[in-house]
Amino acid sequence: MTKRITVDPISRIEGHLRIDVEVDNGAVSQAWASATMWRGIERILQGRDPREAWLFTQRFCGVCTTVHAMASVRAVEDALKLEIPLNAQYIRNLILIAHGMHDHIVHFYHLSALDWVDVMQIPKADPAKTAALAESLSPWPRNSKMEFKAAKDKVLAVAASGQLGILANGYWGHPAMKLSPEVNLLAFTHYLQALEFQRKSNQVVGMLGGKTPHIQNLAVGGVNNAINLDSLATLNMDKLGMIKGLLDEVVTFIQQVYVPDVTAIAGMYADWFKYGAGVTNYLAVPDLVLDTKGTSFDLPGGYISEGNLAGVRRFQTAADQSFRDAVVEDTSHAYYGNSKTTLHPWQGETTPQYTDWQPNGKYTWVKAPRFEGKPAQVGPLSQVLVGYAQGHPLTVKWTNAALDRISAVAGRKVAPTELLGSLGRHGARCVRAAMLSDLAIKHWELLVNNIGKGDTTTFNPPEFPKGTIEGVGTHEAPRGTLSHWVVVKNGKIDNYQAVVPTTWNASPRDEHGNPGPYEASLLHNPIADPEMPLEVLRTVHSFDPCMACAVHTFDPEGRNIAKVKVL
Amino acid sequence: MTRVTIAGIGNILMGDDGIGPYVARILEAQYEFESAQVADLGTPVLDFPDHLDNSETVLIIDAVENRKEPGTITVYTKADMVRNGVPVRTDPHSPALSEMMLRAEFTGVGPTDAILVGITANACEYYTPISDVVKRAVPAAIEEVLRQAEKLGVRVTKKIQPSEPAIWWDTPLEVAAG
Repeated sequence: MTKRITVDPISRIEGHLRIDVEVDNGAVSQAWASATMWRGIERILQGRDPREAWLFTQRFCGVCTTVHAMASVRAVEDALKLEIPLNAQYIRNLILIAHGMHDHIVHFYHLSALDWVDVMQIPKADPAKTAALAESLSPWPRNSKMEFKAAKDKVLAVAASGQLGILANGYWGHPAMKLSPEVNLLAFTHYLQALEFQRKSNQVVGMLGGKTPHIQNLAVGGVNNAINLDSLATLNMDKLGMIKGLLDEVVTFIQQVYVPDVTAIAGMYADWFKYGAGVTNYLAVPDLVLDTKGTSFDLPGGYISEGNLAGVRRFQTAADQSFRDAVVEDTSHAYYGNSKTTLHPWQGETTPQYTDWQPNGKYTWVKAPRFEGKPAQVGPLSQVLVGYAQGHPLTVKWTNAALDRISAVAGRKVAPTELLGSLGRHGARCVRAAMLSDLAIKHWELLVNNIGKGDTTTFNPPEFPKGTIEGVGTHEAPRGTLSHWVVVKNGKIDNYQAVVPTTWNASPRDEHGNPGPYEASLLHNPIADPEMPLEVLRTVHSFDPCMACAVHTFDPEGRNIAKVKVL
Repeated sequence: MTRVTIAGIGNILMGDDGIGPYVARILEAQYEFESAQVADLGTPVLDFPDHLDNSETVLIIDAVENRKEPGTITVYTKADMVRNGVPVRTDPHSPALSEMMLRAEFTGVGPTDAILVGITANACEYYTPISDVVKRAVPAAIEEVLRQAEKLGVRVTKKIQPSEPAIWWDTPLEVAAG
């Protein structure tokens, strides 16, 4: 019997991500990912000064403000072939690293851990046993019996009050929840501690960026952080020292808590490795620039076709020619009536043409980006695979460390190719966070040493030529490859397109009928209970979806309740 | 010490949804607040509490959908905001207000109270300006925010030399030559 399930978070006026799946004999047989809100962001920028585009683009989205600011200045700089001073590169890198660590911690603990962790099992947990288990996994000093007891008491108090509050809406007691009460308590205690450390990472973004949620320090040509080690008002040794202190704490949390938790939980759910691979073309751009021209990087980029790691292709620069030429956006199943179904972003159009949700026709506001005509998956998994396949030492070090930990808990050898699923995306994200944690300290040292040499330059002024120039700015954001494409005519923006990570992953079918990564990854997922499609959330959450760049209107009548509809 | 954070929230690129930041920028430019800070927080989600420092109370200015006449000012309490609980989250953008308050309650970190000065939206569409009917409600919204701030014990004075509100996104577009 076929059942259709719709998971639709009816978010006020416009919604965000909607997932429809057809379930046959307890498994997904068809899937559609759609966005119920349209983004006309590109239209906002036409005619504006390219030097201020980043101020607007960082308002696209409430979660990923920083990344859109960064990709925007890089796009304009690419069009101008502008070199960026070393200090500016290092300051930008530190902001991106701090933002990335913050985002990955939040994603695991606050957006997706409760897909795997059953909080309502915690009342049965023994805090002493939890502490013993935790000590076997990590030297983290806050794994004491007292910490675990305090967290358990909080859950007991909430359960006794009958007002579950923040915990009211999990799929508690779902048959796919498998962890012991002690592991549930361990993960939940770290969920509470994670709030503190994600915040510290965000503080670093604020200290370097001037302010969060919207950083103020960028400029086309560099950054506007004044550096003077003797001045209180500028970036000085005092501030750099505070930044180092915060980074050290976050680094420790990632290496001693996040990595041990994800790898232990993955090992305990080892039967889930087989679900959710979907599209096996993997795309990542290089990032964390090490020179003024943008030719050397601390995070490698490249492309893997059809899971063939040995055939990985490497991108030499952040806006590699083979990347520029290969990207198109396809709108055959999206609500646009553009002059052609596939367009390169520099020729991109955004002409809305709404129809109903039509499973065989148009059904989403998300365009379908394609790389050499094929769907591609982006995100930490892509980045880790691209690096691993190239033998990039830092990637190999942390991937092997994670696989060893997972294998030890699972009681069998878990191979790198098993990472190609929903659980593997979580594993890869913690690997990437660990890589960033090493690089946080490295880039702090690079900045301090460069300033120590007497270099205080942070900005090269841009000059706009007459005529038309084109640029692409890329950033390997926490959710994957982000690219902003700009056409500048006589110093004003003529076209602007943003191809964002979730557009790659949540893309609909294309003109050849090939589904996007969410859609493909949901196929064959088991569904134990159609009324509680936890398995759908597990797979979709593993991508770290960041849908629509929010409207924030508050609805007091509560029409903002997510709806699960079973037909 | 900052006891109260007055936060304008909303997406400035989406018509009336941007009314929160718009009002916050005017408050910032024209008033002095003792023991309170004013912030344009854009569209904060799970990071909401991070921006509230050590505030006991957050006074939010936001567009609301409540089927009243556009431009109507309505004050909501924390109880109103958390009444419907937290939805199943599919992405980080799902409504954060109720979640933020409930999480603060659970963890003991973050503001313990919240008041929302809501302005009924007319249209929240990508790149439309704020509708006239909603803009006309700005003085009434400011008055309500000041009244609520004073009820919270925040002393408010009008700046002797007010600055121009930093509403940079509201500038008209220059038409590109050629």
